[in-house]
Amino acid sequence: MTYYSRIRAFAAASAAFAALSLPGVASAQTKTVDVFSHRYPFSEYYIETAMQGAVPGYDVRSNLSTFQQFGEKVRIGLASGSDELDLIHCQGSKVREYGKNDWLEPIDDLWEKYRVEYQLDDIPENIVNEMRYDGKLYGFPFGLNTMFFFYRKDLFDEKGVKPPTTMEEYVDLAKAFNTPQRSGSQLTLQPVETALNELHWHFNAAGPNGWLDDKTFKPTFNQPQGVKAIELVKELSKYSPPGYLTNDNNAATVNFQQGLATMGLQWASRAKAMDNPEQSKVVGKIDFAPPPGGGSRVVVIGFCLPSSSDIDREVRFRILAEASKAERMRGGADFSIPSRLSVLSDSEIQKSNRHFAAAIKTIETARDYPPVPEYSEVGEILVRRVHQALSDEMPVQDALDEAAGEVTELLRKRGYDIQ
Amino acid sequence: MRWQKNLWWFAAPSFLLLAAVMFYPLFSAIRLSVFDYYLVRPNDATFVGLDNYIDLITEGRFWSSLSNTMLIAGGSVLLEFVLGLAVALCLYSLQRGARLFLVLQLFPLIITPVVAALFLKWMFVARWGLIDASLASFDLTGPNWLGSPAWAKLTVILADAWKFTPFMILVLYAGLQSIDRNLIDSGRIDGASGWQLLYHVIIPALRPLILFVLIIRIMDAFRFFDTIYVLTGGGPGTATETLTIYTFSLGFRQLEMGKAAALGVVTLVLVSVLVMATAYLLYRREKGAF
Repeated sequence: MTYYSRIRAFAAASAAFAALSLPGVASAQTKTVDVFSHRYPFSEYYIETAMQGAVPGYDVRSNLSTFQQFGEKVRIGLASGSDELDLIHCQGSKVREYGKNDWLEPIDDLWEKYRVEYQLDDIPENIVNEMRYDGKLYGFPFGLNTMFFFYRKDLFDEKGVKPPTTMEEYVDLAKAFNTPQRSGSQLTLQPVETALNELHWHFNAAGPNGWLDDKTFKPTFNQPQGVKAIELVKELSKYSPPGYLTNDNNAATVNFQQGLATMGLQWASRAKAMDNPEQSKVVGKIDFAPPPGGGSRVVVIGFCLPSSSDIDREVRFRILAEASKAERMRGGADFSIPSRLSVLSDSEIQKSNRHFAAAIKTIETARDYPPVPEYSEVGEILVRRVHQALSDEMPVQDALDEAAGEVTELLRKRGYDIQ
Repeated sequence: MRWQKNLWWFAAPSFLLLAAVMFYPLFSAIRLSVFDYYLVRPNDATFVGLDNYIDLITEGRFWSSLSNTMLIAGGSVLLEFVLGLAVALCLYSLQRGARLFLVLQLFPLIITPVVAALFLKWMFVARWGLIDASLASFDLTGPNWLGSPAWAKLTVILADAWKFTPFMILVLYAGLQSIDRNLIDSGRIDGASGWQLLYHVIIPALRPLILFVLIIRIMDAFRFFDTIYVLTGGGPGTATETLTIYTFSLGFRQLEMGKAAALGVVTLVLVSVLVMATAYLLYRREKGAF
């Protein structure tokens, strides 16, 4: 070997060694799967823990943002056919919206293919059905989330009162408990979807008609019951923390944890945070009950496969299936009611999640949004008008009538036959 | 002269680049604005002529967002200008420490807008926000910063002023440095008061820079989005819904891209008119504006 050829060989060997040592080159063989959700404990656990290492050769990257930003980002991404979204957090109402627009991959074939390997029959069919639209399965269900009533048990015990069962009782108790330092109630009305979650309950609790007719989707929120519901919200607002019109669930959670609110509606997935001594001043003092009047929201939560992703759909499905295995779902039971019966019926899991009892009772009367795929656009109109009523920009009846007119026009434009 | 004509060829690359990044999107937006374009069904876009524009100007929401924009943009630019000029004059009078202060006060301008807005939100949030918690330590209760329509407007103006007053200070202070000191000293010898010096010497000397900062800030304030989006989302109700928030809502919540594009075009025309009016007002020297 000549001097020069020795140098060339040494240079080649060094380059090869360097290339192998560089993380960028090594990871060129691994693909990245981008998972999008809003930041809350359920997503943090499943994306940042349960999905990690699920399928060799694929890194799962977490993309978490606020609830509002997540919803808008995903809608824009899906509508524009972006290949950036590989997996997205979704729930029944989103499955209908996205499914109608052909933005999601149907996964019926994969569900069948992996039914035995991943024991998918452990997930009840009625839960799986919530992830279907037009007969096709679009989402992988991981759990249930519902909104129930958080209340300060210590203060209720002191006063010798029980959690309210009607809206009128709720208003009376909110007034009785209200102090300058601690609000009697708590409303969480940040536009759009956060507010819609809370308003959904108020409209349902006021009467059987809810806010949209379940079949024709004709607005019902401006009927006398709906007007009464918003009048009661307006009354409750006097006993709610200032800024309730812009507060999101994070702010509401902090209000409970810091002892600044006595009671109010909140997601079951936030219950565990009340007993976190690092964040909460009220460990063991908050208890949970079905919401007065019933009719709060229940959703099946999970993940969907956007059709515009360039990652193989089977790989993405397997990441979800691996993350849903019973041993991994046990870890997620703190943040949602698990969809697998084997995990839900585990006595230890039930014992360590004292809010499960209230959640299960809540589900008896709870319901999801009316099944209109355009619920988000409808919600934007309704929430804006309700805000105008609550901030005294216009009377409640006028605001709801205006909203009903706009919603009818919108849905007609989208092809619905509304009389 | 002929060689000058040939110089146009040197401008051609810049013009092409400008056309690609500015004129193409602009014409594309104008084209989109005459279509009924629902983002979910892009293949069903239909030509509707001026219908989107007519829809906009006949609905109350457009006028309410326009008046909110005028109020919020006008209020914040005015506040920033007054504060900026006042601070710049103070710095100009300082014998030492002006440079250090100038650097420190730039921090709000350096922070990413959304991060700054989030920081402001945690300041203004009720009960446990920085301001309310500080007031509470003196047994005081703060107003409903983000929840009441009037306070929300003011909060948004204050937030914008917090972020952009440093820009005003920076530009006006630089302008003050360029004024001939002899002019001010002569005025003083002639017995002019501080206000007279400001009105008759300093402001006329600063006029080109004042025009520059006002135009830049008016254009910016009309595009004001991130802070409002994070702080109030346009609410409560429609109290802080500006033209940009309304455009966002039309485009990305209701996916009505045609109508959103029409609103964008209307906003562009409004800002152009406003900028030209500002330039005209500041430069009609003969008619005695200054």
